[in-house]
Amino acid sequence: MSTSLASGSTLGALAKQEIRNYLEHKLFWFGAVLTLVLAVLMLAGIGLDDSSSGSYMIVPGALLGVLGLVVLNGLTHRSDRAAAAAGAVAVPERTRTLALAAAVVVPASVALVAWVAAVITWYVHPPTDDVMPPGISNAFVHAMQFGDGVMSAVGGPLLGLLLARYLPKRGVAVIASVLLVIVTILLQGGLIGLQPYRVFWVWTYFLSQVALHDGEFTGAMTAGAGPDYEWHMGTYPGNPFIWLVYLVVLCALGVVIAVYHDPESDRVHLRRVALGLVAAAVALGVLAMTVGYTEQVVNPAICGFC
Amino acid sequence: MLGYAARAVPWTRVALAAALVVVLIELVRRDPWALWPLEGTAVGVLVGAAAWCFDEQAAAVVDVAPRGLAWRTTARLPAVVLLVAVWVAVVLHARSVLFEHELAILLQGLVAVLAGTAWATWRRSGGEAMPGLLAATVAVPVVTGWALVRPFERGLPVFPYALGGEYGDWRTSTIGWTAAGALALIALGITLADARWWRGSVIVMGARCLLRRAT
Repeated sequence: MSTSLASGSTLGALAKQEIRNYLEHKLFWFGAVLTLVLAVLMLAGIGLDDSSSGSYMIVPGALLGVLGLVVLNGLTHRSDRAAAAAGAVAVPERTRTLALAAAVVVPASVALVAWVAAVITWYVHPPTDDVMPPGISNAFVHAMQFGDGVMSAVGGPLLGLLLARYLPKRGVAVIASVLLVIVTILLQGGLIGLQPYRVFWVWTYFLSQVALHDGEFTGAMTAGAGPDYEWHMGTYPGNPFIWLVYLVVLCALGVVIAVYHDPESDRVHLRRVALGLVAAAVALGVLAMTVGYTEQVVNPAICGFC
Repeated sequence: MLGYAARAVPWTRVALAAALVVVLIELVRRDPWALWPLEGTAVGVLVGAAAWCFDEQAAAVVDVAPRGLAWRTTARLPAVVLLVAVWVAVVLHARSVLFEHELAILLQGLVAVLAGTAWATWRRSGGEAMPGLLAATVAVPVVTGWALVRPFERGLPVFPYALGGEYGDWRTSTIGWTAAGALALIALGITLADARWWRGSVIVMGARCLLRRAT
């Protein structure tokens, strides 16, 4: 019992230290300040298009999520270097990993503030009539905003932690950040067909622009150049509420796999937990694809700002 | 000189970065309307990759050798030339879909390479062994984030989109990139000239103080 108490207090102290380290990171401040400034401008209605805050998520996704990947990756390397320099230390790798994972509370807090600003903006400067498709609730939009805006600020740094544990080579975080952007932009929805499988990815739209040709959905690819296309706002197949739970499970899985890297951890137990989380994630992903919003719903009014 | 370049340049990383640039611009070529942010991402990769070319793992040995910084920088130029060649090739290949602004985009990439080179060379002149890694770690995600979000695009059009206008003015952007390129070129020239007055100047001392705090 005394061991667990000691371990708990060590974890608490280390977590506070890593939170401080995250707060002192220049890249975090760059992303956080820009996110908050843009949130204030959004609240004031400056630079908003007719979709209100419907696509604000790109800001925290890029500035807290992608940058967070690099920030926590760097902090993990720093923690490892400090541990190596100290030699045989009493703090095991798993405790340091958990402390580093706790630091995601920093970007998550900023993202949460931006999300609240986005929700307020949605009602203070509501979208025009050509935005919301019939039968789609505001909660649908807020779930998408939370997943893309807040969960990305948690998941990005956790991915950086995971990469530092399993691919500790130099430059991996940089390359990974670019690859993350490439895959995300291709799976944002509506680009190559309806892509219902994209709900397995960590960032995607559920409500965005839809290109129609003779009344049929075409996918946005090459549509921009075509004069025969009509732009509407519409949903992309997938249930954002279940997808949110899927993202939470994915983040938990990331932490477990990161802790699993420590050879002295209880790997048998962790393997069971990880397998359970993988099963839950797969089930939730399938449910997000098949339950509720499986069809595309399009606003019949032509989009005035697309 | 070529032998030094073959051994000293992190070719794998540079090649990987060049391949990423090809992939990014090829994706933009397929759908510039939807995938335009990847153009800015490619520019960010160029900054990091150019700076990577000048990382020196054996700095403690090399820095005291008779060969000066200018010689060592020149020896590593084939890697930079490779990046420039890749950029020019992919932009020219995609020029038909670049909203008739292929020259502006070409300029962005060239300035990015120049800025990465100038930064890394300057830091190397101060004895820092691996400035490229730091530059890439900061520049790539920051530029990528900026290209995705495009904040303040009317007043500060870093990566203008499509036909410009409310999405950022191409002319203003080109002027900004040209100014940045000129500054980078001057910084590179002065660093390579190894001028004592430059090293001791108030501007450099102040910049170094700021950088020390930042890093």
